[in-house]
Amino acid sequence: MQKETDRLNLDEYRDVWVFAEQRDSKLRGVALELLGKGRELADSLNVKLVAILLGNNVADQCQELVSYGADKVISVDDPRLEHYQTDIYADIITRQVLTSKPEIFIIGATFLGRDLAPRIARRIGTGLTADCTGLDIDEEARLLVQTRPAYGGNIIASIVTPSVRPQMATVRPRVMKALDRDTARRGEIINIPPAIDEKNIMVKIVEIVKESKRSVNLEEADIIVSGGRGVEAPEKFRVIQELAEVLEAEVGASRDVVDAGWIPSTHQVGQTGKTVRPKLYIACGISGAVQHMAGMRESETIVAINNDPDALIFQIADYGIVADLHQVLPLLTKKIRQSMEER
Amino acid sequence: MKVVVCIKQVPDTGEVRIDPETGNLIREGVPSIVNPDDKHAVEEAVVLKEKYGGKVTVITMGPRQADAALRECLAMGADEAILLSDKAFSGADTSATSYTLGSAIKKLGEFDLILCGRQALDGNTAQVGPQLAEFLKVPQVTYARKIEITGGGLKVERALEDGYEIVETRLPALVTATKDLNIPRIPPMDAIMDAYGQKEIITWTASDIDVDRDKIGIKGSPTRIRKASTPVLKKGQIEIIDGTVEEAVDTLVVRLKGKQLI
Amino acid sequence: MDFKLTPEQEMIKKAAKEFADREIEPIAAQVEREKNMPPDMLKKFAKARLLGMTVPREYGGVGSSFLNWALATEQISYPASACGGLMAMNNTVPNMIDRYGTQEQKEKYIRPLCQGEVIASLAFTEPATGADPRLITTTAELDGEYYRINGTKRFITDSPFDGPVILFAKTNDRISGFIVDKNSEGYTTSKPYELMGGGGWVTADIYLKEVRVPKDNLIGDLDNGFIILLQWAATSKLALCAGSVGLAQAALDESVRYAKERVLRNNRPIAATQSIQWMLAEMACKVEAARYLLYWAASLVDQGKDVMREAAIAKLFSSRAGVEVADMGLRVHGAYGFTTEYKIERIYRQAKGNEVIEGTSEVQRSIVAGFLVR
Repeated sequence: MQKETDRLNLDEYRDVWVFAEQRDSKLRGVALELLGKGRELADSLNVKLVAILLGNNVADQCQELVSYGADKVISVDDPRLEHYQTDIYADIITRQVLTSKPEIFIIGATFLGRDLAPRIARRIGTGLTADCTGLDIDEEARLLVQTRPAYGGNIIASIVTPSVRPQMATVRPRVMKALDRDTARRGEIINIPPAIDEKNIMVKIVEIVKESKRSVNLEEADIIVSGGRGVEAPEKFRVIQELAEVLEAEVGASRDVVDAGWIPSTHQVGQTGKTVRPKLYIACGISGAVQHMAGMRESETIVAINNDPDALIFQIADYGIVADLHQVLPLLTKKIRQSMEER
Repeated sequence: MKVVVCIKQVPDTGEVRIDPETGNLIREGVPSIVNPDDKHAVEEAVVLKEKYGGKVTVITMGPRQADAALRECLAMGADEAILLSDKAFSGADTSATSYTLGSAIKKLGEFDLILCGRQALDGNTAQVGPQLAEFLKVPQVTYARKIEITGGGLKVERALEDGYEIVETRLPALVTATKDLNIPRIPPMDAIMDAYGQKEIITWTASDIDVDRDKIGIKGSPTRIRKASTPVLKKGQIEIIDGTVEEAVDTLVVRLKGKQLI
Repeated sequence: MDFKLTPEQEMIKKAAKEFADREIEPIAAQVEREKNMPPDMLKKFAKARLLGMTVPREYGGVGSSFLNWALATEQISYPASACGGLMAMNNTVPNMIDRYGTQEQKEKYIRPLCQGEVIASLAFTEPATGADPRLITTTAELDGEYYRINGTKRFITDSPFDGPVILFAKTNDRISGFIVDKNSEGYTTSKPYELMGGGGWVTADIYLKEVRVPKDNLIGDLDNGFIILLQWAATSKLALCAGSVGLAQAALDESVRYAKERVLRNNRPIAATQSIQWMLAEMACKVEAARYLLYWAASLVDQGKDVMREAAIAKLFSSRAGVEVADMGLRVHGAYGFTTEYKIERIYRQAKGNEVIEGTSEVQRSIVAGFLVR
């Protein structure tokens, strides 16, 4: 835990830090997104942007981090760091943070990040805000304003960490934008020896299993075609699947349809299902119940097809067609297929 | 086996509606439930007890009405329920919450396993579990899909984004439960009667547990909510595409192509 | 007079509703269509401790109040499936054994019913009568250590399945009740009747030919069996009330949902029209009234009162309410209500059954009038 006196000397804390998550020795998309946002924050505050990277054989990734905006990279490269393990990562990173005293430290809100960040924050004794969709600087107060959804997305909260440092946040993937890659950028790359104390490793990884891509992966999908009660019957779900096929999209579903047993719950989008942020979400016969919208409202472009003009879904959609989906979808599928063949 | 389960009573956000006129959340009449992920944690604890013997203690930090949530857990098979209720606890962020829960758990004495739900329906942070593990200095295993007690301790299958991993750790440990872990039982009728009739909820205030008043509640929360509002529904205007079905489809295709989505 | 449910009662209701949602609703349409109840359903009820709810714990029951049982039965009846009917017999019959049985009978027969190992039945009705003890022709003759029972019973629920049946037979020109093992030699059943509603529910005639029943299986006093029948009928009526309330609520919810979805030409939902709104309002009134008559009668049982009059009133009103609500609900659905795509058609058919079984509405009227004019 930090000493009491540290809390008063907020001025000692400078720089924006980003945790660079890697998988199989390659940077994950969220790391680059965080750098994009981090750059903006660092420029506002007139400080450095530092990336901290743990992994095995990640030397080439260090330069990548610089190309994507980092002024400095702290790299800890060791075979024992190849696969994420809570205790090792928390130990190393906490030590670095306590030594270097960043004022802001952001981590991607991935499975890894949400396992790691709270452990670090608690160890340091600082505040952590989860799953942020917005980060801004209040220049007057020199505070990081962290914006995040709560209550299933029905509330947007702005949160600050006034008296402790670093201000930590996990950031929702695919919300922030990475900078364009600029190989001309120059930055400082520091390699730190890992100094792992085996005694502190409390959890041992026995086996890692990758599951085949044929399992439904709504969270990573670029395009999702989703069906709701308006589809009317399980046999009629074909029109949704056919459109999804031609778009190489994933199939999603509302809770009603999953509860009715028309499609497995792995396809459910919504508060108790999956939260998705595709580039394109096509909602067919979905009325837009609050808990469904909570799961997909962050989609970049939303198309709604519903024969009820008052359906709530139209309030969050970019494009809407008020018509029977059983008429629209087959035609849409046909037109898209045609236009793809033309190319 | 002594298992402690941390639960939270939350509004059933699945039942929440937005007032169409004001755009605000309608909170009245929204029933309170045991947080779904926490129910999976309770179920797992009871299953472990049934298999290995021992005791399940459920604990929550909340207002008086969290009593109903604790009773439901008792009806599912928990042996003991503790309500941490005090004005001094209110306004806590995850840091202060994990401190409070952790301090109460320390008072309970030795335990083998702490189970928490992965995240709560209202806060959605998924932070209390790991922070509690750190406070108590025990190993954490998050996103558990399957739990097994072994000679050496615990073996857990935990979900990854693109698969899963199997990990081992010694006890005591903390595990966060996901909905893939089990199907929570429906509390049987007699257990419900006993939860209200026989069993007692133990209530602790801040004075009952050994806490530093500066570390609980709003005082002990490093993060502060500056503002909360209902989101403006989406950016920009919706374009309702008119015309016959044929025409509308054509227009939509043009729009989507323009955005390089197809 | 506080009409609010206690937190415990709320949880009973919630747990029963969860059971109905999880175990019955997903298969209800299929069970109705195929007239085939899943064989593990009774055990599921037992595990949830929904059987023998009002019977003491020492005999394997739950020891709960009648009101709790009514609350649970109402929720179990919501999916409008014959599966819900499984709950009734294994509650009402062990309840009678607890009230009128000997210690040995209680210890022998109640637990297996509570644990869902066997299904109970009650056999009074015969071809000649469903209500008049003087028209009963099934006989029981004492022969040494046994009674020999001969006769025919009609429309007995679950009569083909293993378990005990409380069977009423003529003794000394009066009637007596006997606990008969449905597995006994000489006990056979007819092919089950095909019914208008409640697909999966099994009702058949019983043929008794020289069925030997140990004389210790007499339940209650000799020649005084009718009182057992009357008391059983009162509780059974409460089960039926709960059934009517459950399915009427379902009819209302379905109709409201349909009315909000179905649009007219100007894209207005039919729920915005007065004609539909008035029907929905009527339906809501009837459901609430039926519900509180049920709770009222069940509460009186808990207070130790005799409820023959109240049960008749509740059954009379709620069964009619169920029919009327189902009828209005079907009209709200329009032609779609006539198809099996929607739940309302099976609610309609099942509601009708509640009006005529276990004492027609006319019988109930006679009972109520009897209390008024005597």
